[in-house]
Amino acid sequence: MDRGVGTGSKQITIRSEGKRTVLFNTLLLAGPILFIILFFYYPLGSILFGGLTDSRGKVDFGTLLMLLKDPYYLRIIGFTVAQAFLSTLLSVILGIPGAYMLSRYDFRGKGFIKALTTLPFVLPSIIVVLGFVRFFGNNGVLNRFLMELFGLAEPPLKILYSFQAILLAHAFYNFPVVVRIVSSYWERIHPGTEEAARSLGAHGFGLFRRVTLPQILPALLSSAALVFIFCFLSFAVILVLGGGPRYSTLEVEVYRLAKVSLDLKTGSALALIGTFLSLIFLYGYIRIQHKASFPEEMSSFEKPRLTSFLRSPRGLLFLLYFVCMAVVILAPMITVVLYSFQERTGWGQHAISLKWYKEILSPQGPYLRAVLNSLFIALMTTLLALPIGTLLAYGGSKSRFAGSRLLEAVVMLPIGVSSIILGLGYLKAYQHFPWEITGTFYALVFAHTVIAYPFVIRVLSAAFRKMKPSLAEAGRSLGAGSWQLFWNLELPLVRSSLITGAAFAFGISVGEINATLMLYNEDLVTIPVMIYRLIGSYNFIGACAMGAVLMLFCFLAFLSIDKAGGELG
Amino acid sequence: MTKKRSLVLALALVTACLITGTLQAAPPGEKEDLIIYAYDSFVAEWGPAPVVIPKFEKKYDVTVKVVSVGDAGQVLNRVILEKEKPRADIILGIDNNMLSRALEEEVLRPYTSPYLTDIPEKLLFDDTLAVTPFDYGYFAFVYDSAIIKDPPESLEDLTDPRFKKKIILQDPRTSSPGLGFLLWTIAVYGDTFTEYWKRLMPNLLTITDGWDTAYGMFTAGEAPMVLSYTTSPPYHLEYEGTERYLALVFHEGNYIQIEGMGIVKGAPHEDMARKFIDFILTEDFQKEIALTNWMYPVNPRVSLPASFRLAPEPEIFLQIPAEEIQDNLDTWIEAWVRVVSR
Repeated sequence: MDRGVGTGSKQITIRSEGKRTVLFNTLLLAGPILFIILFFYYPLGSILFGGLTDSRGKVDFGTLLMLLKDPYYLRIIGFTVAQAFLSTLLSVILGIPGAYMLSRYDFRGKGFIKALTTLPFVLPSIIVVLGFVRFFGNNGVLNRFLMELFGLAEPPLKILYSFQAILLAHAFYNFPVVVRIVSSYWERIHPGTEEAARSLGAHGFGLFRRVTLPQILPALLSSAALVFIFCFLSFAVILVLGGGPRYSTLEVEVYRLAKVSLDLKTGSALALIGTFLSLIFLYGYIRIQHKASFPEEMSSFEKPRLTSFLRSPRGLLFLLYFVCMAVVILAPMITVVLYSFQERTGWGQHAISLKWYKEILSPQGPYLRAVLNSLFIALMTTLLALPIGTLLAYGGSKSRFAGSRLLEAVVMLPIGVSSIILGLGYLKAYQHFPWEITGTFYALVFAHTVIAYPFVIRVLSAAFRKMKPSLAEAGRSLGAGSWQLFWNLELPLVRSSLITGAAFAFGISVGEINATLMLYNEDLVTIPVMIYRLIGSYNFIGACAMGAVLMLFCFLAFLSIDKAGGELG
Repeated sequence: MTKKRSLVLALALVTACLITGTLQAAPPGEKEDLIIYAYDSFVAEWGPAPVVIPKFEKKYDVTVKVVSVGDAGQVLNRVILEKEKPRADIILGIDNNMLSRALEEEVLRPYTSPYLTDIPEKLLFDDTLAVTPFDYGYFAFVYDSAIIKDPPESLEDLTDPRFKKKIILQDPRTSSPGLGFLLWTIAVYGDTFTEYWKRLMPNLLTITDGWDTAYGMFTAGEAPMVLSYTTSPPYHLEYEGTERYLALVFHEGNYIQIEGMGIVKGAPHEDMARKFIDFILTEDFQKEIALTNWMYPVNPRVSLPASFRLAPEPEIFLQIPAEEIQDNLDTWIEAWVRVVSR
């Protein structure tokens, strides 16, 4: 019984496919697949092809082989994989208790905490780095507080500029992802199985390992895969907080070759290696996830109040956990917000001021325009990425043909491709297009959708897999068609995952900078572009204020996504 | 049913937005008389474009479109990608370190402006005249004079133990000041530059991906010295009234960055592009450079704002020829990575 309860119903899945269902699924998938080919594979292909051809257009693997033999690049690839693995492990371990609290208990401010967990995600890395430096740094809030308190001359905590700092920052970005994805899945699983196991004498870690873990494993793997790929592609955080190029990743090299050395050929070849590695990771993870999934009863149910739990001794531990997490997640963000309320008054003097907020809210200024642009583009991205991701996840959970796993990985690939490469691809591919797309609102929405929809897939595919096929069979025997089943039965059942998916799509779009910088025009300046501009003209306070506004608007958007989703049922 | 209603609502919203998007997305290049590709900070609200472009438009009664294309590297990338079907007339932001790449790709059409005679010889960095310089500056270390009382006077001084963990640098692989500093050490130390970097390493707090992060950390008080430009202190004086942050010129000299622009080969409006190149060398354009781009104008007759007294002028300026950079950059960077990743 190591696999836990519920493995028995697995065989039924295979039988339930009629010809009509296959046709229905194909029709559902046609649109999303066309979108992916046109707006992801076509631009990606036109760039990557450059890494495989010589100057006369002949296929040439020379550059690729040279890279694979070079010890310099091999070491970088090795480090990239290793740090991504450790960061993922840390994020998952830190995320599980949080997911448990959110999915098993009801408490006041739960919606608030859920919205908060998605915030780190939307922040451009430069704001995160500055937030970390201002809180954990040598001259940061934490060290200055301790120096004041104990009368020290030197900062006592050397947290940043080390390997640990990389892990800490990655946990900041990513453990909320684990909390969010796992909890939206976990809260639909009835606690009955756990209770039954408990009544049979299981408890503590044994109960968790043998019963709970197998139940939540698909979602855990989903979030782990996202976190892994994210850390795999991370670079500003690694470079700055790690203390320099000692810790260098594949992405830094792609960035350098494509943007600084302007060596698109080598850049493309290296991007090709990175893309290929991502594909392998995705494929491996999708296989494990399929093995780990088993269908189960899914429903919403009453949850006990948190307050009763917190009075128990174990509850105290959890409380401690929450305080620590609040320090990691909130402190850097609050530091950014507090800093934004300052105004320089000369000689390193600061005064508290609302100057920047007045400027941002002034209707004539460029800032409000940027805020509105960002919100509009993010809304469009959400409305596009949510159906695309949902349909693909649905199709993926139903198809069982040979190679369908590989196809899933192929569909997931945008997540493993650097947005610089994507942006370059758009520029190169669409210049021969019948209509102008770069520099228009379409290019931004399409590129953001391509970056965001894999997140929607990951969030939803775990949920669709969890559904008992007997449910659909019951519906069909009552005369429901494929569409009715999908719309009236299966979709409502994954509602909380839909909300999570929408929140991620929105957040990713609002925070995107690399592809945006290549594709926007003056009328389409977004918040991150504005932050980049402000910092570029020495205006750090303004940048922090813009970052604070970004957080506020996203926070409100997440709350309303949650609320709208809640009312949809 | 609320669910159906919300679906209809969402669909209506998408359609409405797509239509507005279509209306908004008028194809560029039909109404404009001149199209310029520039890096983002040139186009930004505080950059030169909002001040100088209207002047040009008024002078010739034309419409100019300035397209912001990320950073200087991306501007050149974009023009290279569009080589077969050029859209831009002017490419803005090619500096002395990028020049050979631009020439190698043959995306530019040389032009000799009659106003070039106003420009000092040392700033004409492109012999082929495909790129005309419009501003320049020097990389320099900026320090916090409230903390450092005896600042370094040379590259060699930077390795002194008294600056342990006090310097923030930028990565030459991702940032142009970072690349400038690597070239600076090569210009001074030649083949032994890796030895210099070995001595320098203990004094580095961190190496950031871009100038923005490094400078943000510096003003946050994380370290008292940062790689920037000689023209950074004037900014603090002009807008914050402080003389606390100062820039250093070194005995060995400072590395120079010269920025230029050129006419794109096959430009749709080549005549107007020539007029624009002439325009950037006139006082109308040149006098705006100091306070909007925080660089020196190339036209020496233009007077500088008072705050520029805080920008020290180096006696020696260093520069490595473009072809030499193009030939050796990869080797240099690999050697550099080997040293710093130890």
